[in-house]
Amino acid sequence: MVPEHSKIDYSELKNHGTGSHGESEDFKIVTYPIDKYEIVVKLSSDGKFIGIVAIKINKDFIQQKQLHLLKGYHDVEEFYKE
Amino acid sequence: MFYQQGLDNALRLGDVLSGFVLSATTIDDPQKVISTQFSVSIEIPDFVVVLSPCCSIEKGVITLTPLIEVRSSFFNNPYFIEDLTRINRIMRPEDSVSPSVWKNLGQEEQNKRLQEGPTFAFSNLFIYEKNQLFKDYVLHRKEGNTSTNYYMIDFKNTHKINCSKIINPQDSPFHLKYLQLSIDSRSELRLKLAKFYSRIPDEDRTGDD
Repeated sequence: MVPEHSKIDYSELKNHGTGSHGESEDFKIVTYPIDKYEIVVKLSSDGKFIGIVAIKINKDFIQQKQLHLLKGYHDVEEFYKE
Repeated sequence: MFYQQGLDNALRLGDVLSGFVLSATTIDDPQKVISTQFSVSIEIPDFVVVLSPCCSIEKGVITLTPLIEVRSSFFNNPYFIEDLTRINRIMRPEDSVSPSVWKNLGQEEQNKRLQEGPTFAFSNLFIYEKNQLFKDYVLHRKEGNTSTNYYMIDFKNTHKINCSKIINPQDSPFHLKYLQLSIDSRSELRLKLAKFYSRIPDEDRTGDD
């Protein structure tokens, strides 16, 4: 079993973090990919729209469903030998 | 943001943990009849990364890989110097090598690579962003030494660990967790892992591939 004090420490960390959380008890953050953008929205715990958190460029350039279409890898190992 | 601020009370794919001992068996000349000609090496890395998918962290088993130092040669490419985690994502062919290397490839080879379009490089590697938790180390280069605390993992360097404390992601020793990837970063790790295992060897290719 995890010591009780450790549980308290991690609860503190989770509840007092200042960055972006995937989910919390009151709301959740969901990312919707649209074309080359990603729209990050905040939803209530019952799924109601609260607001837009951020609009970002999709760093992958492509959607996940297109990933399998990638032909292969850039063969560059020979240029990065130690 | 590469890491999530605040940690979940559960283990996740990509989490950075400490406190695990890794082992590897070396067999120089494997035979059909098992002999005692093998050795087992033990490694106690400062940090390891969870490579089990979140839903497969259960039943007393977890897959881990140590955080290792990055290659000094990565710093020969200005595109990587700006942000070494670009190695985790797809990139244009001309960004995958330094400008001088690209120039020396010649037009024919450049065209061949340009036809591939954006895709991954370094199929088995995933970079972990710098963090104050990690020790600095020095990379020796012709152009001068470079100090960094970027680290990386190698998908070919995985270790299976039996640990009875790992019941499921929530009922596990998550107090050993130091860093957790953001949702975006974990998605990048998942995609690169998936691509690593979904590569089709030339001998298995059909006309449709």
